[in-house]
Amino acid sequence: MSAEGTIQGFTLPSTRPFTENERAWIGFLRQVSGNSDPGPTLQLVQALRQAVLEAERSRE
Amino acid sequence: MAKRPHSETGLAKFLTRRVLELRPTKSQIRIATEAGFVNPNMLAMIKNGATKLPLDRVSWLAKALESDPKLLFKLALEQAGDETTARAVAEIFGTVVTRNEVAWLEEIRDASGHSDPSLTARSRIALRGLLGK
Repeated sequence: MSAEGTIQGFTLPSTRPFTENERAWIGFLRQVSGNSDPGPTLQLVQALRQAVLEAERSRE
Repeated sequence: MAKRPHSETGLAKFLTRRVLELRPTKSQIRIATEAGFVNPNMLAMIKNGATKLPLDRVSWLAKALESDPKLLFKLALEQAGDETTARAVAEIFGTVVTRNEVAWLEEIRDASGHSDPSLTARSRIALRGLLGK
């Protein structure tokens, strides 16, 4: 169990499934990675954090 | 020419890529044996899209491919094209996400301070730059 509402990779609809925004992020990650299920390496995490930062800036 | 109706599915492409990546350490025949295929040609047929991956082989094949079974299960469901089954799985279990995707979600939540950021055009560009397409 690693994230709230997530047990062994399944999100349970009765607890806390991920949000529509999070679904969009995961969908996009799947698309750009060609469904290769990349692990969170340092370089990729840095890119993701940059992308989240860009999203936060756009909101301002 | 042989029919390959499933050659463009995500599963066939994923399988092709993993077999290639594992080639230095593991042959395709060994993968097929580890996955429990009585006839090793079955794996070749799934890889080239001639046939679909039976759901009862997902767990074993994922182990043989050293991959996340949830990713393979998701791809197998998509390949099966059975919308009723896919809908039932989604309703009962929620959306299937892999271990790596859970890690990504945790990173997104942490980086945004749990503000649930939307995916903007600029963030798409930032991600696409590194992940490739």
